[in-house]
Parts: sequence; structure tokens; C-alpha cells
Amino acid sequence: MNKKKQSLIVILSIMFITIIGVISLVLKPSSKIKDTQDWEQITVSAVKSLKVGKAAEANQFCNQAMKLLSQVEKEDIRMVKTYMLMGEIQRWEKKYDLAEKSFINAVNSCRKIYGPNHPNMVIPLESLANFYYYTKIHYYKVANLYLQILNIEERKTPPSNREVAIRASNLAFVYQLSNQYEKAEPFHKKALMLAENAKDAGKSDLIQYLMASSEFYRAWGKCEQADLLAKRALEMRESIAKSTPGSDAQLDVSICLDALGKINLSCEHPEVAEHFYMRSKTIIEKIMGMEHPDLVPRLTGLAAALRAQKKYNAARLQYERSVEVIEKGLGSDFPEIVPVLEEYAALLNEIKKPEEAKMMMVRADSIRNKNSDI
Amino acid sequence: MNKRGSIGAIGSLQASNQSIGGHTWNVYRGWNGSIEVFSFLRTSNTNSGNVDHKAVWNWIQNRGWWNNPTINNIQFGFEITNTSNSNQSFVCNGRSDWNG
Repeated sequence: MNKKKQSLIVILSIMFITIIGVISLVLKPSSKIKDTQDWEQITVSAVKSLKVGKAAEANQFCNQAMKLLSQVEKEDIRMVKTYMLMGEIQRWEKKYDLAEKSFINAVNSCRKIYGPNHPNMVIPLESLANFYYYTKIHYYKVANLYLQILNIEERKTPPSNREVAIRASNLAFVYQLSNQYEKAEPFHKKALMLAENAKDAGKSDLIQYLMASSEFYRAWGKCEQADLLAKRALEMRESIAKSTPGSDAQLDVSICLDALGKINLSCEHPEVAEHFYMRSKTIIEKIMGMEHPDLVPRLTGLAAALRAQKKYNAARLQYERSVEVIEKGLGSDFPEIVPVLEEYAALLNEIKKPEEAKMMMVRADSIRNKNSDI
Repeated sequence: MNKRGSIGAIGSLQASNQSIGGHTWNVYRGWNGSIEVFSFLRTSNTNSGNVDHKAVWNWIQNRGWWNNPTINNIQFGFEITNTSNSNQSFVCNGRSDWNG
């Protein structure tokens, strides 16, 4: 074979080997992608185990996920999420101190990887806040975390006004829960202002923040402001309902009516409250039927309005109906019946029927005790 | 559709009193450490009813939280977090799914 042919063969061989090498690199999944797929499968398995009550199995999967990640060169969001998953499992097992540590580890891990103001920080901060909100009920800690989340959302470029409004509203609500009304007010106002100016989110967000602000002012005892905001929400909902077929739009109207009923009851206008609760009740009866449990808040609201006007017989009928509806729809020992029995008992005491009132209270206490650990 | 006790949804509240699919919900969104979770908690309890799933899915789509996914699994049941150290019964008397 002459030299030219030999060189050509060598060149062609090198090209062939190179092409095969490139194809192999393209077709073979990188180890990172495979690790991620494995991590996803393991964590999904952990969640599935937890859902069926197999905490020990969920823990094993979680530990597997941790082990997989310990072999990865650089930590990433998966480590953060694995700590969160561990926290959820420990919370489920009622190992609250361990759960708190896991959620805090998630936050610290994320901070170390991405920095304190990175958008990825929202996920672990939110998980820790959720833990403090529902499990430890430490609202001041929730507020601190919500404030951090709000700051992160505001720093995004560009910020999502919808997200900022949600975070501001949630922060306001936590302050409200702790009766820190002066602290809550600016955040309610911020959410409302963002919703007013939003072009893309539609009226639904605005109505939501009108209602949230209305309830805030009601709780604070500022009746005029509460009434104004709720009426504006009602007007918008009624306008939508005129042009939107279906029950959802009507349900939305009834929610606004309930809010106005509650405001007028709080602000000592029971005759006005009666009117709003009647309208709401009528809507729910039409959509849900005459015996649906959704009627109960409307019936008890109406009962309270009637009782405040000393229309005792009419009030009594509403309480009796509420009890019947709950018994039929949810069961005679359902916890929701307890406040209804207590209000009914208060009415019975007012109309000088102490024996009947006592029976209601005994029943209420019994049901409450049965459900005390839930 | 029905919740008892001091349990909470994953994540944080995203929208309150949303009437979707024939019911009114408070909507939550968050991560459980593995997957993103959207929770629709009915604002008051019921023991029966029809839910328009598609209306809920469309709401999530309109919110921009997902993009035309393929739904390949629907489950219904109870998520039991506590039975107060006593035996409790959880009974599903019937369910059905249909395409409308």
C-alpha cells in the first residue's frame, strides 16, 4: 500500500473514531441528569410512602437521597429540597424539634449555595414559615420569614407584582392574627394598590384584596372602611355575575354578601346584617340545595342578626335548622356543630330556658372533648 | 373537601375564597421537598358533592402554574394525619369520574 493510501486510511480512522466518540457523548446521559432522575424517583417514593403512613420507609428513601447528593461535586437545590422533605417526614412523625432543625438546615443550605437574597431562597423560607404557622404557631417567626420572602420578591428583576401582592397580603394577615393592626395596614394597602394597578391579573385579584382589607378593618373595628371596601367588592362581583353564567359567579356574590353581613353585625347594624345574610342564604339554597352544610354560616349569621334585634323565635329557628343541617350533612358529632350549639345555648339562656341551654352545652362539651386531640 | 384539626396545606396561601368548579376554595402552593403541590381547601366542610376537575385545572393553567400537562392519574381518598390515639372510621361511600 503506498504512503498516500496509508495516510488516507489513518485520517479516515481518526475521523471515524472522533465521530463515534462525539455520538457517544451526545447519546449517553450525563451523570448529573441521571443523578437528578434518580433523586426525583427516590424523593417521589419517599412522598408516596409518607402518604400511606409508612414514615420509616419514607425516611429510608430520604436518607438514600441524601447519600446520593453527598457524592455530587457541588451542592444544589436538591440538597435544600431533601432537607425540606426530611422536615415534612419528621413533622408527620411529630418529631417537631428534628423537623424544625431540618427546615432550618434547608434555609441555611440554600443561603450557602445561592446567597440570602436569591429567588431560590423563597422555597425553604416558605417551608419553615409553614412549620411555624401550623405546627409551632409562632406568628412572630412567620412574620420575619414572610418579610424576608417579600423583600426577595421585590428585589427580582423585574418583580412580579402579583407575587409581591400575595406576599404582602400574607404578611399583613400574620400581623393581623397577632393583633398588630398598625403593622398590618401598610401591607394590606400595598397588596391592594398593586392589584388596582395590575393590567394582566384581572379583577379577581383586586376583589380578593378588597375582601381581605375589608375583613382586616372589620377586625380592627374600623367599620366605615370595612363597609366601603366590601361594598366595592360586591359591586364588582354582581357586575361579573350578570355576564357570567354558572354557579361560581353566584357563589362569589354570596361570599361578598356574607362579608357585609359580618361587618354589619360587628358594627351593630343587625337589621342590615339580616338583609345581607338572607340574600346569601337564598343564593346558597338555590345552588347547593336546602340541606347543604354550606348553609350553616349563613343560617348562624342570620340567627345572630335576628337575636341582636330580639327576634328570638326567628333566631331559634335558624339555630335549629343549622343543627339539623350539620347532623344530616356531616354527622351529629362533627366538631363544626360545637359553636352552633354554644350560640344556641346563649340564645336559650337569654330567653330564660336554662335547662335546654344546659343540654346544648353538655352536648357541645362532649363533642369538643371527643375531638380535643384532633 | 373536608378537613378536621389543625392541619395546614403545603406552602402558603395564594388566593382566598375562589369559586371554582362549583365550590369555594382557599388555594395554596408550595414544595414538599420533592414536587410542587397545589392545594385547594374548601372553605367549609362537606361530605359529598361534585367537583369539576377541569375547571380547577384551567384555573391553575390561567394562573401560569403549569403549561398544558397531561393528567394521567386521578386519586381520591383521605389524608389521615391524626386519629387522636383512637380508632376512627373513614368510609368512602362511592365515587365516580366522568368526562364532560
